[in-house]
Amino acid sequence: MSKSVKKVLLFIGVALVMIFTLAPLIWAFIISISPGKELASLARHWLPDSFTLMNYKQVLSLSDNAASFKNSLLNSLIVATVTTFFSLIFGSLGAYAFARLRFRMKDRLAVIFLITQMVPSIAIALPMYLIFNRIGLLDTKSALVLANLSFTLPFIIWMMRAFFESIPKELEESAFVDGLGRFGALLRIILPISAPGLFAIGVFAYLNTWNEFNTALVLTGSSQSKTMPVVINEFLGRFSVDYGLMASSGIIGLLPPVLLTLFFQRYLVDGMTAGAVKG
Amino acid sequence: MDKSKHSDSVVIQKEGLSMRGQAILRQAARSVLSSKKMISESKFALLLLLPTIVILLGLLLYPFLYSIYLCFVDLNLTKPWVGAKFIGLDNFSAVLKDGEFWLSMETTLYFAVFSVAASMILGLAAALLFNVKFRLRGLGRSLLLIPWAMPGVVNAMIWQTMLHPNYGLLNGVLLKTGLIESPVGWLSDPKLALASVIMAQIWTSFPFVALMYLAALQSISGELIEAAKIDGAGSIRIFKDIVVKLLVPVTLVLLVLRTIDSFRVFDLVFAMTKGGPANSTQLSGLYLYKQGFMFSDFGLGSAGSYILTGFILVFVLLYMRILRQKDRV
Repeated sequence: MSKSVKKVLLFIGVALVMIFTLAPLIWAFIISISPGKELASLARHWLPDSFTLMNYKQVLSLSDNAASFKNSLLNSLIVATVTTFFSLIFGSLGAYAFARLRFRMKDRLAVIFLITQMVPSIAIALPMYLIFNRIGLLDTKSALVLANLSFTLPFIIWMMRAFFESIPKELEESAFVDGLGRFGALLRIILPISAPGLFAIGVFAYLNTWNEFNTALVLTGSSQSKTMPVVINEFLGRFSVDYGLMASSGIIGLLPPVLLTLFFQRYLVDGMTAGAVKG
Repeated sequence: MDKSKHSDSVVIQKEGLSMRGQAILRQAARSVLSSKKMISESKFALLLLLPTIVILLGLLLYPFLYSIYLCFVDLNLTKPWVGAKFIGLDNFSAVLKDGEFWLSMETTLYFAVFSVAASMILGLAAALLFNVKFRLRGLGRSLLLIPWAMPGVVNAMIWQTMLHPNYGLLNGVLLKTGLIESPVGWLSDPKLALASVIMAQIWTSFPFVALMYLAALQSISGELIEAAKIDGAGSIRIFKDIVVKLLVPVTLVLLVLRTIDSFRVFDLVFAMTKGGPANSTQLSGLYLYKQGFMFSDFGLGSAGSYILTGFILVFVLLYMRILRQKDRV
């Protein structure tokens, strides 16, 4: 095959992949900025004659007892941020114990952590509901943070453990010689040089929590704890006639995870692929 | 003062210590550890793991055991005064006798087979394309991540706008090019709805496959391929013998991950079709949710979810066997 033919084939292939990836996104965006009366002819013209931000204004100011979209965004933001914060702290501490320290039950504990990952989320949902009901945390953001922590922690420990194991032991040993205690060595030597790994894993935890739907659906009941995916799911039922509102809520809901992903993509791709390619 | 000391040791580390240096360092560290009253290893480990253990025991292990208990009792939350009655394996046999369960398993199987196969093929194709250097490659690769990063509910919303009979882009394009004459109801026709949901699943899952394959391709060293070329291997031969072989481990990992994911999909169908029309997109996850949270039959729901987990395990073990055998040949 000549070089120019190859180039053309490459171009066509890449163009097809990019169209498949981006067309649905762009279409949802176009619908979100189109005036309602133009929707009917939009599929034939692809672009509206005039654009409007009314849908965004309306969806953000929308509030009734069932669901306020603005509140749900705030709830998602709080739940995802707090979960990520604590799962990074608890997760990296736990991972360090697994990577570096000898203790009884280590292997058994690792197996238990692994088993918790395989439990079907639907089987877990009811017992979780009952637990939070009993301790009076049903329909609160705290319950969501706790539930999400239990989902992200095993995964974070598993990923961070491999990361810590790749750090040479001599680093801590020289820290001990320099007079740092165990905690000091972990806090001032190991964690700072693990920052790239922590970033990647933090983004994973954030995405997982931001996107989590099953548990949020079961555990939340009012606008004080309903997260964005739960409210968007309600919109899908309620606004099945108003596509502009629906699309604008979706565009807003995908912005945080997408921006985060694009911003941290280098760390993310490294973190995502490290385990699978090496292993 | 402390800081400069530590950075010194970091520099030493970077330059690499001799074996002897390492031994001396280790000994020094050990003597410091024993002379100063440092917290013991196992106590320190317990301290570090305490928050995780508390959260996991309380919020995962307890629910896990409780859900196993639920499998064997008849618990009706709408009639709490009746209490839980031990009924042996009745929940399991009730699930296995339920035609709707088997219908949902069949639908899930179609969904899993087609979405996994298509996302693997499309992902590999995209990875091979993006392995070639071209302008804006980095930008394209970043944009690939978008469908992967978004919530399943938003994915459902986006494909509802794509597939809407009147407002949807797909019908618009097909009508314009004359491939169809009247609008198609992609999500209202029972024959097309499952295919439409599979499409949405492929869209959100192929980028991950592509990035994993891309990383694997880039780890194949140029030297290896050069050496093969010098030995007179043609490009097809190189692809078959070197590239394909090195991609086998990643393929296994991806197949396992993608299969588990597609068997457990819930939010996408829940938001996109609610299982309709006429149960044509009712995947197992949705069936189990309905049994538990709509019909309040939690025993049935729990038993069913463990049957589903059993099916997933069978698939995973099957992959491992097949790919390991291939590896040996």
